[in-house]
Amino acid sequence: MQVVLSALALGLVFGFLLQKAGLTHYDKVVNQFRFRDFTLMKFMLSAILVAMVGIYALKDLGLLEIASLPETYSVGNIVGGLIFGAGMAIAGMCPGTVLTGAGQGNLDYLVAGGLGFVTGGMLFGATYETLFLPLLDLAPPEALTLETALRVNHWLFIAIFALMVAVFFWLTEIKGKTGRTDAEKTDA
Amino acid sequence: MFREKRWSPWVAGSLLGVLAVANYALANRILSVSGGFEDLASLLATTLHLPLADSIFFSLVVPPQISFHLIQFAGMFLGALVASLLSGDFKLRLLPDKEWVDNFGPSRAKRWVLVFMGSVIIQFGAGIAGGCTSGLGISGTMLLAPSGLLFIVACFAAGILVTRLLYGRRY
Repeated sequence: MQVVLSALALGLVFGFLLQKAGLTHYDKVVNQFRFRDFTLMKFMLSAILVAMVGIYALKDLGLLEIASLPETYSVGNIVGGLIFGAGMAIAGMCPGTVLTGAGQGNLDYLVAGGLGFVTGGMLFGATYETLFLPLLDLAPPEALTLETALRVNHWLFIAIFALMVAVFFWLTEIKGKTGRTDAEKTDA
Repeated sequence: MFREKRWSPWVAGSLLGVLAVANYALANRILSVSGGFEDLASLLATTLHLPLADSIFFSLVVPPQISFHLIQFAGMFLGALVASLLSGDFKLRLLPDKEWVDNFGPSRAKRWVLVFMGSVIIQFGAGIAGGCTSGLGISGTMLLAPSGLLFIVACFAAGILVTRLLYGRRY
């Protein structure tokens, strides 16, 4: 029961935030790829930076261990990312925003998107042995971080990442007179 | 505040970051979504008695079950429903409010076919990559996993290129 409630609560907050950021709308996604609306980048970069600092601070305090880690298998991560991005440009959504877009009443997300994502899951399952496993042979999965791979302290990477986010913040929020692109302004 | 239509993406994103830390520290889980569609596919293949249900993937790797992801899915749907009802952004839509009609015309069939195709491609890509925008892009990168960075760069490169192709002179 506790697991059910935590899964539900996690989803509620996650869905609420995606909707409030507006990423449940087609134009927010496609206009990121057109460099007309930077909402998607702002949302992702701030989430990553806060989480990165939080997790590694807790780790250094001994309150947390880096146990579950998305595996690195370069060929698959890149090829999959390319396919994923192509689909994202066509539909203007991702797995998280198809659910939350459906929640705000987008019927194209609910019906066509829902069917498409389940079909995509089946397609992956159907080609798992013939396509995915041979692909893994090209670059076997490893649970790596930049720190363990390059033997450099994690705060160096976090500092570089924070600097990149600061530059991005300056470019999008301070350098422009109003801080927002035309597409972002018309959304208010 | 809850009635506002849009929150600054910096604020909403930072709060998602806090959620990601809490989820990792308390439950040792990363935020992820795409795996849930594999659970759904497995459930459907089994329910419909498809031969696919006996494959290694759907019997061993992702056996059919009401998973954590699927309960999280219900929460995500409800979270967006509540957020949009509070702000008045909720509306039954057959087409996106902006950009789509200007570029692709008012055909609903065209939109729905393209959404279906795009969704198949997205989920297939997430399977190959080992995650999606949240499971790899955010969760991988927050842990400094190279997989997250590789995924984000590849995803944006293809997204920009395909959008250019689709929008042509309107890009």
